[in-house]
Amino acid sequence: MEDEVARAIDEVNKEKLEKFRTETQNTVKNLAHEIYRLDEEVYKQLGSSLGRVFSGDKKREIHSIISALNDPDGYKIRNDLVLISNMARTIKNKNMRKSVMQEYSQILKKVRSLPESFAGNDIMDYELAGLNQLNLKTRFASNHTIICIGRTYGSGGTDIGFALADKLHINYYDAEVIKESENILEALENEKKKNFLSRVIYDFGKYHGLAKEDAQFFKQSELILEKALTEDFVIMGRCADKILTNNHIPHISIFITAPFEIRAKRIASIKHNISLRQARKLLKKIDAASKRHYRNYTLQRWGDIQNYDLCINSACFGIEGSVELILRSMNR
Amino acid sequence: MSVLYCIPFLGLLLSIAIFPLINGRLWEKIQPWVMIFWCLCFLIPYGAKYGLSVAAESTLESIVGDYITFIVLLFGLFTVAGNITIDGDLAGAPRTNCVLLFIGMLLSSVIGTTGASMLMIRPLIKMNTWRKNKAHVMVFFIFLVSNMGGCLTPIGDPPLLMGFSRGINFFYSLSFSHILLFNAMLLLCIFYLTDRHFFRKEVAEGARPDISKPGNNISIKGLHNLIFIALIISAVILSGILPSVEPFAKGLHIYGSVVFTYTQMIEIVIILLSALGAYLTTPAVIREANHFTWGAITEVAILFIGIFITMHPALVILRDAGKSLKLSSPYQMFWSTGLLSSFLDNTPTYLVFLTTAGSLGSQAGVYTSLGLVPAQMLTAISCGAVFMGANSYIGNAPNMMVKAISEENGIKMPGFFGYIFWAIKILIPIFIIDTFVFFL
Repeated sequence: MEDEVARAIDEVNKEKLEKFRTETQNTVKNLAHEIYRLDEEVYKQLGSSLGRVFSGDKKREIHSIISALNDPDGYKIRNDLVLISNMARTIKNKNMRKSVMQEYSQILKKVRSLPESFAGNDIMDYELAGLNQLNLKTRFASNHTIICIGRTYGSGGTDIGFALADKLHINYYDAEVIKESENILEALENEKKKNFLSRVIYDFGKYHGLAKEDAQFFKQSELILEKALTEDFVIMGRCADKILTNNHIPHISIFITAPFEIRAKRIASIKHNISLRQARKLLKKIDAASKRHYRNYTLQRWGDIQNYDLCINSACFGIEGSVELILRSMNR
Repeated sequence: MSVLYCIPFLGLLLSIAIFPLINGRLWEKIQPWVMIFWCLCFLIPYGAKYGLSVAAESTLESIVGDYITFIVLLFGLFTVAGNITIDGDLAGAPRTNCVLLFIGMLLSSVIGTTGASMLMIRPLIKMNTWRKNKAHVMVFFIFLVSNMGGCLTPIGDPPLLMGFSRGINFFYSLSFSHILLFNAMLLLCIFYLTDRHFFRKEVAEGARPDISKPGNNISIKGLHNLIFIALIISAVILSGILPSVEPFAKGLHIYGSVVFTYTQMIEIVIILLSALGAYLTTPAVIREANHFTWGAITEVAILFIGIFITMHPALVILRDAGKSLKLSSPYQMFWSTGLLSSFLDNTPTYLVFLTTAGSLGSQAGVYTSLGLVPAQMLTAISCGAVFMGANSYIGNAPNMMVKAISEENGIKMPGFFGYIFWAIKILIPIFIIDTFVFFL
């Protein structure tokens, strides 16, 4: 009897906790929008793009405000609010300044009234789970099907990705994305400069002062995000999983690999003109480049199982089997 | 004079360092009162001991002799540079920032550290708008553009102008080029690695610049204001040349030995007219695009009037003790001039040590009106005064301006001690290397 009562109390407490968590998360979400709007208003009143605190993409910035609000320490959000108020105090129009400062004070009050921490003890990271299309609750609710595949060279990842796209009747992107971004970046390439100095200055300006590979990465990110809004697709590499996660776009991230020796043998058999030794060398070189590229733009370890929804040893399933496994995971 | 008279100066520095940490908004409101308080803490006991007229003379000497020309120059360059805006799609990244810092550094010797800082700070802020971590960019900007870059010509930094007016050849400071390049190379390498670390972190978190338009069209608006900058620089050069010409050495007698010289008047009039000219001939939209307000200059004007008045006893003590310090080697001169220039006005500090070096009775060296100064000694004094102005926010005039403009534009700058910590971490090891390479 006592056990049942205790269980019932637990249930009620759980429900209460869940309700409290949902309410607080809604409050935090609204507050994040209010903070973003305040920054936007201050920037509009000042008529200058200089000094805007949340200058990036709206959706991403609101998520970053939510994360900052969720931080029990609250240091970051306090700093951001101070910067906004510093800017607001320079608004010339007195009435406008007053109204903005009033809004700022109200927001500050709301921030202070937030509970220090409302995180539960579930292992599930709600934000991450929301982005995962394999998650039963939100599976393909309203978004496009986007599958990001990372793979080691020779593991058959490319064939698996291509076959998967074919089975799902969706687009497949690989080097295409690079080509498209390069086309845009090189739009002015034809305009060749004669002397060395003008060539250096021209090259510097061509990529907006950025290193070519950085400019390429930013351009690719832009293209991937554009495509994510309009179509379903499978994309190979390009750090697409991280780009989509950063921009809160639901997707499935998969990593495909196989034991080194098996991959080397496969490469040697596919590329008739190279020996097994050369294949091993090639594998090491290409894997190292992929690792470096992924690390550079994500600060995460390439192939680390923690970064993916699904990791497959293609040597166990083969190309067809791996496709089947992914489709079954997706309930297709 | 007793060292105790330096307590108000220390109190003022501590106020600048600690108050903003306790309550930034309150500090903004009470700044003028805190300055008045520390000034009175110095003037009342000083007046009681030496008499009111001496205290009044000391205050007027600080204000008329040093502060007015200092703040007018800062005001002029701040106003004119605020009317020039650079548009373009350059994205703030390690490479672009390095290039901009290097250009700014070279510009410092052409239009002065203050001029280059005021001109380059806004484009740098604009380029880095998309970045989250920007404070380090501004800190290195202070190191390179607001200080070190000014060591190549007398226009670069006021101490060198003082040296020029004491007979040192105008182009002599160009012989410091190798030292500047060595320091710049080290600093830019450290900057590149630091900036790359933050850049990678931001990119991994999803930040990206707007590079939607192909190519890059850089356009400068308000370019005609460069004429006003040239006018201000000519006024600065005149202030170094005219005092040696008979009629301009005289001036309006204010009180006791305090004279408002004709040279100062000419300099002030040219600068103020240039500022007014820039303001009237430039459309307001350019200032709006620059987010131009008077906030930064007001803050610096308030802080520095207190610093100039309370710093007076420290400078008098230094002047009196100059000869008895028995400094005879370049590395001693480099560190003494440098460390004192980190917190005191580097112009009188430079003069004290130049006078000391001139009185050593050297048989060979660079000619100055204070005597022959060994070349390595002159290099050490000049580099110490110019380079180590970067050690604190109050070490050189543009440092505080860069801090104020950055904060006004949404960048969370390190506090007073936080900045000194950056200097200790990065500059001091470089100065130690300099000592071994150039001054031992």
